[in-house]
Amino acid sequence: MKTLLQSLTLIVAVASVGRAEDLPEETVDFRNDLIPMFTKHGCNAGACHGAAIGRGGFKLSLYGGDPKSDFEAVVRQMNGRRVNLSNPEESLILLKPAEYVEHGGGAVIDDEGDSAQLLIDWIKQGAGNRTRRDLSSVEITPRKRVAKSLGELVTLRAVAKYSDGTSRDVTGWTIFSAEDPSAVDVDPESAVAKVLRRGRHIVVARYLSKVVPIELVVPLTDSNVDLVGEPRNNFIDDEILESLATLGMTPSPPCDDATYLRRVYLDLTGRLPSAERVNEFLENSLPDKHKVLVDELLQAEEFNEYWTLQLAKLLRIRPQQDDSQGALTYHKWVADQIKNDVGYRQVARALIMATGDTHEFGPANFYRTVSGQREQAEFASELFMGSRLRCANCHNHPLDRWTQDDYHGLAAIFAKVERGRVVGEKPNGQTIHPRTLEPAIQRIPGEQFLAENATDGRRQLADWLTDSSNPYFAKAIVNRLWKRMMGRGLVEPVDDFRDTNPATHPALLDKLAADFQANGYRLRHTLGLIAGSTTYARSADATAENKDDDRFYSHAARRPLEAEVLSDAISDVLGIAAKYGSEPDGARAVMLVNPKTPSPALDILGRCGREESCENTPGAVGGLPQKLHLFNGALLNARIAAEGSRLNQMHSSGKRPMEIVDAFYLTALNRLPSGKERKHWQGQLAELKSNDDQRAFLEDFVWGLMTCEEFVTNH
Amino acid sequence: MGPHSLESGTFRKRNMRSLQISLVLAATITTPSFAQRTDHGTLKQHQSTDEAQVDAERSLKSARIATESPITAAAFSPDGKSVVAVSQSGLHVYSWPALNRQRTIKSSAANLHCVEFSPNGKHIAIGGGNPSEDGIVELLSWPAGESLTKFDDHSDSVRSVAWLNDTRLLTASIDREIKLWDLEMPTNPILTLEGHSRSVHALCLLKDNKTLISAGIDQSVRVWDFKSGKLIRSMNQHIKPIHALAMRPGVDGLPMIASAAGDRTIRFWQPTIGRMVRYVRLDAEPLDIAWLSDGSRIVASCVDGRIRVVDPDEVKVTQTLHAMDGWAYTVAVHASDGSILVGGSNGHLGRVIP
Amino acid sequence: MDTQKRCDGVSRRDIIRIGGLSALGLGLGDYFRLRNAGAAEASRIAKAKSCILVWLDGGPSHLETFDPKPDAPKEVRGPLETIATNVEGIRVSECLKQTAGVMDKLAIIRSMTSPLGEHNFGTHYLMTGYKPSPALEYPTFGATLAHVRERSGVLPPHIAVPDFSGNVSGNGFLPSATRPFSVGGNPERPDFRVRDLDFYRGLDLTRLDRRRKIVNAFDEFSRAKDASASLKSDPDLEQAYNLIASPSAKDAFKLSDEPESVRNRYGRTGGNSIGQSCLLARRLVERGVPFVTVNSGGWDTHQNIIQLKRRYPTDRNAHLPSLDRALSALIQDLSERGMLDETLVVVMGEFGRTPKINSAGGRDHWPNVFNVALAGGGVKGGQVIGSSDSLGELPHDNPVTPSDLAATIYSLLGIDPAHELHTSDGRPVRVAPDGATIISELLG
Repeated sequence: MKTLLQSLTLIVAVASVGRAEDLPEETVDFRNDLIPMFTKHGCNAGACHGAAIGRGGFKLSLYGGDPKSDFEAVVRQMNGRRVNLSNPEESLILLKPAEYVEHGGGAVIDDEGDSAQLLIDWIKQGAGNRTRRDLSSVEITPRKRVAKSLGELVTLRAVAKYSDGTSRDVTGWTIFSAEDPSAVDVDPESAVAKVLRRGRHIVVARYLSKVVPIELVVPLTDSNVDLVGEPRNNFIDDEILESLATLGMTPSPPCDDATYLRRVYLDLTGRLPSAERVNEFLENSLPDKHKVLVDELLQAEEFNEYWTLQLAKLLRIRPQQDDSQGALTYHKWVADQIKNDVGYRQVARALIMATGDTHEFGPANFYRTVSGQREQAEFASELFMGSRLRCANCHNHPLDRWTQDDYHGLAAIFAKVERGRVVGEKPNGQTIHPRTLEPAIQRIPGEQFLAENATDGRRQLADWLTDSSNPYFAKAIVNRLWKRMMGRGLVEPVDDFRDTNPATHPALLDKLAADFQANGYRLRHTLGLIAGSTTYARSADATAENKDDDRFYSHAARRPLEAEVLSDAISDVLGIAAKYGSEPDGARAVMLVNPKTPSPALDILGRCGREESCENTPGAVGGLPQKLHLFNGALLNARIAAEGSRLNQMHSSGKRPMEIVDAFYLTALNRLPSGKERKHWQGQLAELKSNDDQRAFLEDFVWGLMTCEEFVTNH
Repeated sequence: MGPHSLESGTFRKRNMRSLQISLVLAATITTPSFAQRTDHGTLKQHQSTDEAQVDAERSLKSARIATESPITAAAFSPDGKSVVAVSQSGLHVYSWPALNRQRTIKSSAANLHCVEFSPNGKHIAIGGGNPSEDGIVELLSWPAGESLTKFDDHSDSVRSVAWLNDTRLLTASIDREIKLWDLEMPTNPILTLEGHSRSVHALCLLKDNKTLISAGIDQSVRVWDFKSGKLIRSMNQHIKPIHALAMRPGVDGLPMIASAAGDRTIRFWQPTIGRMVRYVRLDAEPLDIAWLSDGSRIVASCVDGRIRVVDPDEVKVTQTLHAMDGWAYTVAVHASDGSILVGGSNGHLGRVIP
Repeated sequence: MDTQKRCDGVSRRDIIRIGGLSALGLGLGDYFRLRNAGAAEASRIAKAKSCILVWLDGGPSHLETFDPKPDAPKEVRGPLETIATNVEGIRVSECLKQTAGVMDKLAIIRSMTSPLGEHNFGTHYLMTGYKPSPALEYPTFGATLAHVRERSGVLPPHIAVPDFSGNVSGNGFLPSATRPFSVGGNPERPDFRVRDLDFYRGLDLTRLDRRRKIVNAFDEFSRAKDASASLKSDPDLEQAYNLIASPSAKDAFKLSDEPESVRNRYGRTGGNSIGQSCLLARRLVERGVPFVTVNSGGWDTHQNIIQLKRRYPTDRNAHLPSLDRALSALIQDLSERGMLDETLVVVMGEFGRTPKINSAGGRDHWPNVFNVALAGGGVKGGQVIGSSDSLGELPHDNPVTPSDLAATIYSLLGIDPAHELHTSDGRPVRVAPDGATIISELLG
């Protein structure tokens, strides 16, 4: 009898929960079993049901970011018709993806496969929402692999770890996608990756909301590259050289003194060194002259001016519609912070917590940079966290961790700021959360909600941001400083830090940030550190081996000069300053407060208007219209040989042609011409007999000098 | 099972599916040794009989959470002594007020969403369908429960049915259409009203014999003259899908109806003049509404399993009562004893006394 | 359980492998036929020498242009009526009267579909055929054409009138010489000139020639030891010089040479100078420029969609009537000059707009379905390809992706979609993505 009962019980159990070999010890867990399944099949991707509007009336949270609402959508909505508890195989949630009924997404799951079985089992068990355990982390292996050769297979694995201490292999439910599919091929069934092209490549692993980048490297050469003997000055060089060695790339040699001088002058002061300076530096034979130079420039007035401009661009300082006073006050305040070497942490706090009359109190203008609390949330997150929260406006950010609550919660903090000529508190300010239709609750992004009636949201935000444990703040700024000096951020774009966009040198970024913090968040410190590294001092001439490298610093990058810097440089070399609006004669572009100061020169040279981030305006990029203007327009032509110009004055004081050539080389390129170069120009001049012809040639020579790549770039 | 056509892209395989299910079940039942295969399972072969039995029972218990389909609609019989309710397992009949389940009548539709008695109390119309495939209304005799006719022209489930008189009724479907039927002509609807841009979930008829109100996912409350088939007006104040409509009884003068929607409001309208009179905000989404028979209050059943009693004139909630766990999909008010019937998740059907 | 078999004997597993054919609305026959089309097709169908892309920046509403829904509910239909065209069965927005008169030359694809509803992403997808990727920015049609075709003549091969969308660089990973040359200014103005084409006082061509040679010398010296340097001189400088040196090339930009009647026909004002821009495009194409992009802004109508028809009671220059004048004039002008067969005209934006009018009386971004109009260059006119559903929300049949469109445009211009370009580090990249299929119905 008992045996029969047992058999019957087993049979009943089998009939209700599936085949015997699948009789689960645990129930099918909606959150831990089904949502990964939806994610793996792309059901909750942005192109399908994860879209802001859902698809076909069925909306899932993007990549399973909101299991609670997914449960309601699948089980409760539409009178519960998507799940048929009386006849599980009749459930729409199965019929559609297996394409038993018309499905816009086609046949997504195999009716005989694991996914279908999972759904059926779950429904048979009552379609519940109980979760036995919470996902704590996903361990992806390997995180980084340096393969010996192309074609080597790398097996990727994902193991989920839960709050109750258990773990299980979830490789089959993880999506591995190569950032560049032509470089890495990942087989979706077996999760085996094969690198198809030499270099460093990223594969992004996604399991539920956990996103982890995997680094796969195949060195550029098969032979071992040993860089132990390369000169190094600080941890920057250690990190850079290590990654070059891994990649099998040999760096270019250091640049010469003249190049270093010009480079560091431009990077720290936005100016060209004078001819006298050049000569003195080249003649100096002290071993630490680089360091002495850097220290001196860091203390110079010109440093203050140039770095005020950098910060002004970062903060997008510009006049309001009819009100230019605020911008002036703001600019002056920033200049003071730079001059007094105020730590960036303090600067950020002052900006976030600012209240007062924008005409009197500079930082208050921070709240007039953009219009509206949502825009303020976007601006603040891109500026201080280097993170684009903006996608999280409509749904949880698809590639990153930010949720709608984070976005609107941050906007809610800024909603309590009264914006206008006078910036103050607005205790009743609020912003409506589009999902709940209620006022959004103030929230520190990615952290926690603030108390409902909290009135000190800004202070809490500032405290969190500038706390030494904050993972974004220091990294965001040092990455920008790095980009200014080296031409490319360790994370690019610099306002797009996210899990799926890892740094090229994560350890270096961490160290730079920690070092920055440890040194009072002082810009001068980190700039000096970078300028003192051997990495910074490398030549821009690439070797045959490293010429395709654009992000590992095997050689220096050639960077176009910013419009303001170039315009000033042209003015300096030609000896006649360009005119900027109604500014006094001789005003320098770098000092202008208003980015819209009327100036054809700056327009042609492509200055940034600061309505948006200036990261994307590389400067005087060129292009056909600019070249046409250089040829036929006034920018250069009006000043080369005009009265009072350098050329004119040199003619007047009887300088000979080759003296003029040397002088212009020194002033514009900050070096003397080489033997070959000298011979070339001498040859050209020799063909011209008359004075007039020679003068015309020298005008053309100066024009060419102002237009050539060596002048308009920092290299 | 007709020929499949790739171009049309419709796959109707359910019949095949059902056959397969029966085959599998048959296989399972007739081969008891199947149950003893333990290579992958957790049942250990060397377990003692008792342990195995206990294990199986424990698995069964832990495996099952909610086994019953939700009650999606319920109604009192005309004599007030019975309750009929529908779910995925069919039409159930209960006694009132004890709510003992007396019998269940199966339907050919996989899902059932609405149930309405005819004015003369002799028939029940139950509406539903096979999701994404068809929408069906079945006509049963009352109290015998015999299946009389089927109205089968919608291409997705019928969400709401409303009797015009004893021989005509209207259906509203997820396929966005509203159809008018005559009992004598079950194969073809007399009229089809098109215009909603999404599923239609609720219908409400005015006493003037020609005005129909409809509402659904497209957030509009539409007023139709169904004699001419014309849309008179569309009122668009709701900002989320509308779940239910109910006409206020005991009103002299301009007729008033109430609507309940996902924006957590109940709105009160005068549809004949196109005016939204007032609205009340709830702190949970209402799924269904029903008026007290004197029209003095309206009751809403909500997603938090509570019902809220609302004063329509002061527009405030006068009572909030816990009714059940899960979503309360349907609510009805007993005509004479004033108590409230609530149905919803997990096959729950219960009585609440306000 | 048995494997499900269709009546044609193909099992479900095969379908899953091939990838959701039903979603494409294709039968298997179509699928295999199109797969084999590829390169052979490209060379066979190449007809167009040039292309004029009329870019409606901001996302033009498909419901207010070429895919109106007169039978839909009012909140979808919108405030505009529809009119018949000179092709039976095709109706368009009431504002496109003149275009309706040349519908026999136009092909409308009503089932375009994309998942990208942001301006920059959508623009990149439509202008390059590739979805944007962090790894690489792709070149637009004009840049590819400029790169692949033999340079003939001095005019830049890729020109933008009056400017180019800021949402893409234009050249992507191709050399900056392929970036579009923006003529700048406002073609409507009587004093419209392309700047800086005439010599600065005191200079002449000989001087300019010497100047560029001096720059080349400087550049050569400075890059002497750099392995990454290319030996060519600054291409922008060369191009600028060549342009200045060619009076006939400069004349190409002189709109004032056109008779008043022609200028009026295209429309003197409205639509952000779309009329005169299209006329300039015709002039340029006539002189051998392979690719011209006309940029018409202001189509991002989140509010007051009626403004597309008119902004005040007597307005005749709102965007839609201006587009209507310009497009119909362009097509007729090209046809009369015998240029239509060799000039492909494409009219599109980065996405469509929401079918349901929003609370501000406008429509928001909607990439799920939208339309593209094409004429000339081997396109078979007088037809509608694909359709959207009754509410204009999703493709109803024959969904076409921007990749498919790109493959087709390239093929019409004589470039094999499988042709490989190379990035600066030598990586091969197909001109159009793998899997993009040519829209066979477009071909004559």
